[in-house]
Amino acid sequence: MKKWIPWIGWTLLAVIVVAVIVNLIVAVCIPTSIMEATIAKKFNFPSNQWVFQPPITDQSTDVVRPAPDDIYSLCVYDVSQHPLRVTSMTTQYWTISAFAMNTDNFFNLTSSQAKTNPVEVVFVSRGMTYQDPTGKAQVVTTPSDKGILMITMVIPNQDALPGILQAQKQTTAELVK
Amino acid sequence: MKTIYKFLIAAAIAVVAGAAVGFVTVNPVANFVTSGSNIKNGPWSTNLAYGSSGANPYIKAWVAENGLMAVSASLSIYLAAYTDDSGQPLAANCDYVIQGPAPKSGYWNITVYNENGFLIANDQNRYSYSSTDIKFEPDGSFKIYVSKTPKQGNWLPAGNAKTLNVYLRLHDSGTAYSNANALKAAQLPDIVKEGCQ
Repeated sequence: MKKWIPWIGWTLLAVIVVAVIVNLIVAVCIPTSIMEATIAKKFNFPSNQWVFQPPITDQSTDVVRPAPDDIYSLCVYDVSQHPLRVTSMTTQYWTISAFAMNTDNFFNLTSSQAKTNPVEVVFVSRGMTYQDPTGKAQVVTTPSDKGILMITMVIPNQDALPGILQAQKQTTAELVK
Repeated sequence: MKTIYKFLIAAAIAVVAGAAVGFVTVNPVANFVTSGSNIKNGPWSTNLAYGSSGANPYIKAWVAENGLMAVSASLSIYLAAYTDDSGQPLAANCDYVIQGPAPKSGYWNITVYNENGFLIANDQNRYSYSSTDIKFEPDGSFKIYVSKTPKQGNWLPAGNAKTLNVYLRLHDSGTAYSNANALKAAQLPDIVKEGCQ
């Protein structure tokens, strides 16, 4: 029996080492796998096109804890082949946020930071170089070729809703070829 | 020869048992790491690492599972409350008042959710109050009543919820809540229980 004791000790130590390594690897993989699943199931629309979400109601269960006075526009970007030019009219409280496939929120721009209206942003893959010929667009390098863009427009009061919906519909996404 | 067999058996046990333990403990570890790095102020808590590329893998995993597409704190700060000021869980059969000075943000919003994290259906379609539609007190402070029965003033119906949770969203806050020390020292709204049915 005594001969087994060192083996049991070394085996337990190896179990712990493997557990720590697997634990860390799974944790690192979770964000990307959840983003891929979300894009495949919930955001299953064509890449590089905006989808305009309706105002949030008590029937909205796509995401947990939705903000009832926010109106969202979503775009699954894919800049693996060409840069993507986004144009959007800003409203009083407007933000564009970009998320990489590992869920990192790598870019934000608010209406108070925007220098032009409409705002123009060109998203470019890490392997590309792009010079905006107009000089108006902000060029942003994406950490992953695919990800999600989200524009949030706050509805400060119900009277503002028609104007915000009109501004939302003027949001465009176009591959720069 | 026996040593080789022992080694192979030990290695097999280590790989199988280690992988199983490592896999099933990811969520508990992520919960532990994330809650451990939360910033608390009264009933409110948040984490400035949400959405950040610099967050550790466990916080990123927790965000992916519990708040996908969380924006970084440089844009907005979301504070959650699951208890009142005395530390008691928020029960929908109790009346609460959320009160205090207006947050120092360009735009803020207070929303009440049910036990599943969804908006509470009500005839008024009233789910939140924001800096642009709330009625302030003469001194510039505010009060929001949360109850099943109607109240005068800013009232958020508790509807058919069983338990409640409250979110305070702060947008365009400049440096007012930009770091842990500022958040811990900030005067955030109180959540006071008035009574229960």
